[in-house]
Amino acid sequence: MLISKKDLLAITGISYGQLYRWKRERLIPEEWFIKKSSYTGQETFFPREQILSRIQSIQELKNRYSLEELAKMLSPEVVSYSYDIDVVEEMEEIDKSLIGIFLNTYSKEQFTYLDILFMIIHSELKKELSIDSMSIGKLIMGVKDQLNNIKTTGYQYVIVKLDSEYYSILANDGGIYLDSRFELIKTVRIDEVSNRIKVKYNEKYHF
Amino acid sequence: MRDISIEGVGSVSGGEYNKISIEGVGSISDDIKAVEIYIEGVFNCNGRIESDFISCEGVATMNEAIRANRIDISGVMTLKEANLEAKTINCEGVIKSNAEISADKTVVDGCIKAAEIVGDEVIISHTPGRASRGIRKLFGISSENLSSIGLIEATTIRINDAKVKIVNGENITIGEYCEVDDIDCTGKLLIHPRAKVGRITGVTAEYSEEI
Repeated sequence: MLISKKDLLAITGISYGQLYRWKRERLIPEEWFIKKSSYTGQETFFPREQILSRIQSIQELKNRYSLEELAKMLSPEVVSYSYDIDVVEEMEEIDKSLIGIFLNTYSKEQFTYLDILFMIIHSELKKELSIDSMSIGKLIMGVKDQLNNIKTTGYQYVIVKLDSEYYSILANDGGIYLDSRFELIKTVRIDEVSNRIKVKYNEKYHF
Repeated sequence: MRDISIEGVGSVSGGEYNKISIEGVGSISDDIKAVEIYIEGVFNCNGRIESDFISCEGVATMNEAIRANRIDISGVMTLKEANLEAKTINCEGVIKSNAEISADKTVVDGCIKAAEIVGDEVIISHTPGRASRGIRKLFGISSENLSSIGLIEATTIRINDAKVKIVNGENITIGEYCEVDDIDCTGKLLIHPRAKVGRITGVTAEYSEEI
């Protein structure tokens, strides 16, 4: 869903000056400025949920961090470091009872930032939706190989259910149109999870 | 970081510099980072530029995006499909752009022809002299304003001697020698009675000759 620039300014209370300053500082990606023809000429629209969430993050954090630091933190680019099992065990967002399943599924000792994000996402799915550990294990198996194809956090992780089994879809941009036999369980915006984690652990792990 | 100066005909290779001076005919075909860039001669740029300060007293043609803290133009800068981003832009000369000009503060006391000027404050303050107005009247050029812009969008906008298709802002002042097709204002709108203005949306305009 899109929101017009005019409505965006009215809802958020930000000024043109702030909007364009944050665009120059790369806090708001240029790709989010979508130009469409309207009866008055050309109007600019934004992806609604993403822009509202981003502006909220900027407003909450701009007094604590410089615009340059914020740009790094809010960037969808995935950090390319490797993290070892200590980091996984230290993070309170990762469900300790799932660590065994994660380790068996991933079969490695060093994890990428995306691996860690998905461990967090699956831990939160288990908690929020009371999904059993075996189903979580199958979801992790199902998505594991696709993580190599993702280079940014600009994706949605969509959880669906069919005949009591959970499945996932990784989607970016546009809408997701499911076969109606699938039951849509939850859509997780990976960039929102990433922003939250980067803000919290920026100093500790340099995400 | 080194300084480089082109006094004859030459080119600057990509990289990081302290001060770049173009006094002759210079060109760039790679991306450049600098602290200061001075253009007094002729400059043709086919690389992206990031600089703290850019001064253009000569003639510059930019074909890739430019980012600076401050840009002072008293010569002519042409931007072709290239965005210009800065904290402050001061123009007493000429800027021609078919892309976006985005700055916290853009002050023009010269001529600007641009597709879009956006930011926090946009001031186009040129007032045509009596002779200039006389000449325009003589030739029946009533709508030939010095500056012409497609869209101006900023928190505070004060313009004169400009033809603009769309003006969107919070506090807008439209001077006597302006032609604006569409205005959307969310704060205060002041218009000179002799300005030519089309559609107004948002607030009700106040009219005053004291602009």
